[in-house]
Amino acid sequence: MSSTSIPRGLAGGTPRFTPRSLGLGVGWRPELALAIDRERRLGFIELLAEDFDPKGPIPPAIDRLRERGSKIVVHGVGLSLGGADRPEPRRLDHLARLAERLGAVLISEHIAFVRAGGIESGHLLPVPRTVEALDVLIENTREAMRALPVPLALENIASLVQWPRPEMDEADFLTALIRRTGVGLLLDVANVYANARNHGDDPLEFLDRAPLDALAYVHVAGGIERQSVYHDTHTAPVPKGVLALLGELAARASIPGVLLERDDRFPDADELAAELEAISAAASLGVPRP
Amino acid sequence: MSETSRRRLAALQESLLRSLTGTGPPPEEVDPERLELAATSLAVKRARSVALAWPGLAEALGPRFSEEFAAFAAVTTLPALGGPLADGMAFARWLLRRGPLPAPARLDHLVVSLRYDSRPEGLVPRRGPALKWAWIDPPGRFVVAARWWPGREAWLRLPMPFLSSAKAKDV
Repeated sequence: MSSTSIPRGLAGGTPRFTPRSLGLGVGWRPELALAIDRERRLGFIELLAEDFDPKGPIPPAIDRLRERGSKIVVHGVGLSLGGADRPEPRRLDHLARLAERLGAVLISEHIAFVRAGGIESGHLLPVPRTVEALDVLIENTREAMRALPVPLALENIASLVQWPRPEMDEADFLTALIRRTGVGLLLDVANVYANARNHGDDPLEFLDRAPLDALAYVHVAGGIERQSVYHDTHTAPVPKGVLALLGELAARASIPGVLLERDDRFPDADELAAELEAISAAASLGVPRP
Repeated sequence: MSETSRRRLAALQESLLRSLTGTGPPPEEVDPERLELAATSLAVKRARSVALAWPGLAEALGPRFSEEFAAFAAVTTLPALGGPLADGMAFARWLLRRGPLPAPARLDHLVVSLRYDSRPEGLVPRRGPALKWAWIDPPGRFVVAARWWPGREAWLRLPMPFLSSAKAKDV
């Protein structure tokens, strides 16, 4: 992409994403509230935007975490920034109000589309890696950033299906998106792992070339293998391969924050603590880089 | 950037989504085997999400849940607002058209209707007050729930086993 080779000083008014330290995090779920409450190492939690009403009550467990100094990230799945339509004002408004209500430091969303032709997918679907689709994504991202009160970070997804004939690889696609919008990168290492397993992508080559200077934080999770395909289901302990990849990332960039996602078959407090320990070690959190 | 780009992208994405929800043929050059895997995983995720959001409904249907939900999902697309909770409400309505809901499902239905407003596009959180009731039988109990504003609710459970239709069978 020609835009990636423009020296930053000449790139016009595009602001750059400035990472801030988040530390260790967990995706907050009601089922995990007790285990999370016992966890004293948490620098941040992620709240699922679609599960909260900005005008409704906030669970006391979340207020307690905020009082203890945990930072809040609002994580959305419904914006469909990679879709053909412009982001819906009511969805942007929901994110903005929620972020303000909770004092969130960051909002995160996905590089994906979730609806088309009036149909909801209920899942994150991949954006074709073409110049045309990239331009739409960039325009939508800019529109979202203008409407949101705090910085935005976007996450790479895992997908079983892939569009034919991509015009660029994922690292170039992400780099162009980030350089041209100033959006942050939420790097989901489990998704990189899943795509490597399912499509034979080289994860280390990807990490070498991904725009890690805009890294906002990292997601990790565990999935399952079914019919020789890896599904990132967030239902299992983080596998060794994902932890190894997290280590590879830590060797290439300083990691501002790393967050564990678990959506089902929830661990008890001890298992959660062990998971967090392993993640923290693999990400070299708190270890200054030479 | 032109609106033509958006239209072209819309057509591409709709074709992928239609093939994944079983309402259209696979888009050109997309691996059909992977497409089928993705479609299955989408359907599994949809059913599982509703089961988590409506635990009483899932419990009440037991092993029948998967089969019933698959039949429902084949004819109903996901609502635009409210996610799995709204999908579960649509499923509950679909079941209601075929007969009364079992007690735990009826209670889920009561909780959701108390806290959310049903709209054509799905569910939105209720702002104003609401009063809802249900006859839960068995065990023969009248349940009244009042809600003044988000987070402020009162529930009244009135056992009336003498009115239960199941009484004759139990004795």
